[in-house]
Formats: sequence, C-alpha cells, structure tokens
Amino acid sequence: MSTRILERPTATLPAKRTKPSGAATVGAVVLAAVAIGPLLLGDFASFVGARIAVTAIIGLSVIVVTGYTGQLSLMPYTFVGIGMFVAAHAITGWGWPFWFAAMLAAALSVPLSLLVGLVAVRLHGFYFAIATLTFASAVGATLFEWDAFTGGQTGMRVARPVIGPINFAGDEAYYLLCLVTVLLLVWMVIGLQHSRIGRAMTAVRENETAAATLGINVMKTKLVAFIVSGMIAAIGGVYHGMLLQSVTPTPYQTPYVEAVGVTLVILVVIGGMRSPWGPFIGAAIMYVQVEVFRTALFLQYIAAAMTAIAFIVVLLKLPDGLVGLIKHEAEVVRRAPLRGSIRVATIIAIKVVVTYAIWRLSQ
Amino acid sequence: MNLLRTEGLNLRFGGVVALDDVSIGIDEAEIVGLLGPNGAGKSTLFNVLSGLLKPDGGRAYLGERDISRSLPYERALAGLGRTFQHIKLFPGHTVEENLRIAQHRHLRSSVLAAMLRLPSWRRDEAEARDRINAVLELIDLERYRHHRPGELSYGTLRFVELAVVLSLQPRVLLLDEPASGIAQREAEALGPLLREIRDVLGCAIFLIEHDMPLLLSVSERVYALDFGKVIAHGTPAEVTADDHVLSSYLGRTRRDDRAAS
Repeated sequence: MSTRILERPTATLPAKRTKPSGAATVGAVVLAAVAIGPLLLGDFASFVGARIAVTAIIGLSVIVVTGYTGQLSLMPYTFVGIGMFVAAHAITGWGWPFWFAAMLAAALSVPLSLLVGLVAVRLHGFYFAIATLTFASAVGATLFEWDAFTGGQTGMRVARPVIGPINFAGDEAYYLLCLVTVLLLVWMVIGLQHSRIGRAMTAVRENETAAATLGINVMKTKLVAFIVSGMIAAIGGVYHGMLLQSVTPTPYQTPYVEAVGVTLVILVVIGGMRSPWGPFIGAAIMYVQVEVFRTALFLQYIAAAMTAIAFIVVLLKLPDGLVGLIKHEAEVVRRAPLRGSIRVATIIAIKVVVTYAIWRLSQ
Repeated sequence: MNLLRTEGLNLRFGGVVALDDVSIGIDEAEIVGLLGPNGAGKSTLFNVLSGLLKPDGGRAYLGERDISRSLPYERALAGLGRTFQHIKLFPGHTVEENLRIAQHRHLRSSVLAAMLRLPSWRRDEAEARDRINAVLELIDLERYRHHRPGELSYGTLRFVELAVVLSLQPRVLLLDEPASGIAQREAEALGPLLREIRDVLGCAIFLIEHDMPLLLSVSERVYALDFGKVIAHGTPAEVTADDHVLSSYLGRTRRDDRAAS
C-alpha cells in the first residue's frame, strides 16, 4: 500500500472547523432575546416582529431556489398571493384549521411551479429570471384579477388561529407562532442543505457540467428547488394573510408583484443568500429601520438610500451578506476573545447609538 | 464482450474532422491508454463518451446498454466517471463535501426525509460517510478533508478530482491527463495508484496522458489517435513500434532513428 504520495504542504494549515466554544450559549441568548424582546416592548413591536418572521419565511423560498441552486426567481410573491388567498378561503370560508390550510396552500402551489418550472429550467441565468418575471406578470394579470378568488377590492378576511386553549389573535401570541414556524422551517431547510438533493442544488449552482458528469440531473434538481421554493412561499403567504387579517389582491397584481419580488431578493442578499438565517437577519434590519424612520418622511428617503448603499456594499464586499459578516466577527472574537469582543461591542454600540439618536431627533 | 465499446463514432466541427470512424473497446477491469498529439481528438472522444458532445454518427455501449443518446448524468448513473483536463471541482465546498456530492448516485432519501431528518436520511448520510472515508484513505487525502479547493495546490487538486470521481464508484473511469501539473515524484507514484484503484474498485480505466513513461508502464493496451482516427492499437510495445505512431506522435520515423544510430 504505497499510497502516501501527495506532496507535503509547505506550511501547515491551521486546523479548521473547530467550533467556537460557547457558540451554542451565544445562540441561545440571542434566541431568547429575539423571542422575549418584542413581547416586552408591547403590541406594536410584536406586530413588527411577526412581520419580520413572516418575511423570513418568504425569504427562505429565495434561499432554496436562488441561494442554493443559483436560479434567480422573481416571482416569490405570486406564490405568497396564492397561499394567502387559499388560506382566506380555507380558514374563513370553510373553517379549516390554519395548519391544514397551510398544507393545502403548499400543495396548490405545485401546479404553478410545474408549469413555470418545466419552461424555466431549460433556460439559464438572465433568461430564467426573465421567465419567472413574465409568469409573475401573467398570473398577476389573470388569477389575481379574478374577484371570485381574491374577493376583489373589498378583499377578504383571514382569522388568526385558536389552538386549544391558546388564542393567537393578539399580536404577541401571533408573533410567537410565527417565530416558532420560521425556526422550524429554517431547521428543515438546513436539513435539506445537508442531503442528497440539497448538495445537488449547490453543485448545480457552482458547476453544471461537473454536476452532470457526477450523475446529477441538472434540470430535475432546478425543478425540485423551484417547487420546494414555491411551497415555502405559499406557506409564508398563509402566515402573511393571518398577519394582516384583511387582505386585498393589489400587491399581487401586475405591476406591483414584480417590484415586491425584487425587494425581497435584495433583502435576502443583504441578510445572506447562502444561509437559511440570511432572510431573518435581512428582514430584521429592514423592518427595524423602517419603523425607526417611519415618523419623519425625509428620514425615510435616507433609509431607502441607506438600504441601496448597504446593498452595494454587500455586493462588493460581502458575498455571504450579514450572515457572512457575523461569522467573520465571530471568528475574530474566537481568535482574540478580549480585543475581538471589544471591537464587536463597539461596532454594535455605535450602530445602536446612531439609530437611537436619529429616532429621537425625528420625534 | 467489452464493457465500454464504440462503433464508428464520427464528429466534425465545421470543416474539421474531430473524430473519424472511431471504434474502440475496453474490457472489465482493464487499463487502456489513449495517446496522440495535441488536437488529435483525445479529449473530444472523452466528451463524446461522457455525453457532453453529440457525435454526428456512430454508437456507444456501456455493458449491454446503448448509451448513444443518453445524457451526461444518465451515463454517470450507469457507471461512467470522468475527470477533466482542466480540473472541475466545486469551489464553495470542502474536499469532503465535493466527495459527498458525487455520492448522489448511491443515495435515495427524499426532500421530506432530509427536512425532517427521518431514518432513511440518516442511513443515507452514514453510508455516504463510510464510502467517503474509504476513498479518502485510498487516495491519502484524509488531512485535506476540511479544506476548500482554493486552499490546495494544483497537484493536490488533481488527486482530489480523482477522489471525487472514485466516490461515484464508476465501472469505467475516464481520466484526462491526471499527471499534468503535478510534481515528478507524484507522477511516478500515480502508476501504482491507478493499478491499486483498479484492483480495489474493480473499475476499468481509460487514460489520456502525455507523460509517456507513465502511460506505457500502466496501460495493458493502448490506442493511438491522430486527426480523429485510430491509427494503431495493441500492447504498449506494439503501438510504440508502429510506423504511423512514430511519425505522427513521436515526431520521427524509423529512418531518422537509423540515421541517429
């Protein structure tokens, strides 16, 4: 057995993949803060928190098809709309429990995914994106103009659920329901990432030819990613409907549905497109900023400009978005715990002070 | 009955004949060399065999099966593995993950099973890990398991690519210049390694290589290609003694040899 043939590395590379000690503790603390924070701040903060969680669910659909598989889909909100109005009929019209309505919404997204997917997976890059955009417009001009499905401009009501003794009608309770759901879905998407099909998706993103010569059916992989993505977005639509409680079709009609789709992709890229946590972080930054700047109109323009600048910085410097930045800072802390912690704490403190100062000035 | 067989493959690029009536056969667990000057059509033949290029005419068989019209992934699932002259790996994945991607053929778990971490997914991943460990040990890449391709030298990447395609557990392995860009010492060890791979995994190996000592020492049979045409085949000794091969590939004739001696 003379297989010890590889050249010795000239420099010994540092041992990798040693988990930073206490990462689990930090994670638990952050999670507890996220769970309890909005509840302490009251109803309004809980509503914002629920909106962040719902946006994170919808953003997960972008992670699967765009982040993992590398196919830019610009029609996530078409699936959100389908999920939302299916939920409106199922929950309000037929009195179904919300989780049953969510399963129906996910199932009913599949025919549209198949229709679009069977066309789009034959296309590459730019053409895939344009195909999805075209379908978003087409569905927006037909299905969402159909008053029997959407309830027309009077809209429809979607009641929040009551499960046993727990009533989720209040914003605080509903926030917790959304948080549990998004964490469950993140856990599921992480599982997908570490499976045969999830690896096929990232392989297709990085090199279609190499993937094919290793036995991966590229078109089928893209189609599966598109279908899974549509199902997640439809489930997000159900939660979005319950968040708003009263829904109208306008955002899902052309020309609005295209714009919100692009906005969602931007949010996910800022948060981090390669990680299931990316949409959560992107949505949190986006909506906290929106709420802080809400009171002063001129500050809203600044906020929009800041988002644009953040997007450009991410594109240039942070291919993995804020998740990548957080991982990088965690590595800094791990290497030099004291200096690293001071550095990270300073950055966070400056951010908080600046945001608070702007908020005070605008009151 | 050959394991991999072609009948009269033809391919033209515009006016250029890339493959001209190429018929070859490779037996079970045989190591066969393919030699020829640059532009002779060696890599083109590999691309046709793996389905990346469509021939104008001719057929290809893997075992009993006619793969002439199969897509690249279908040929890989049928047991055809290949490497590339220019290394193709997945740069965002570690060495271990690259090998895991190649396990696709052997795994079955569904989307839902993975999302819910059902037993079928756990079983899949455990089996994949065992097979990956075996390949990493065989090629001696254990210490690079968690490195990404960008962190490794070109020579090491050649062996990583070999490990990835072995992770597929192919019945036929097409290797496109495995020794190019690696150090002399490694190239010398490649011959014994290829034999060991053949013995351990029982796969046939079809090899393009410009390192003549390596090609001639490891191959049991050799095909020589020039202008897309098979100009000679036989044992390494027979092929290197062939007039056509001497004039086209080795760049000299017997007359030159006589003049030199």
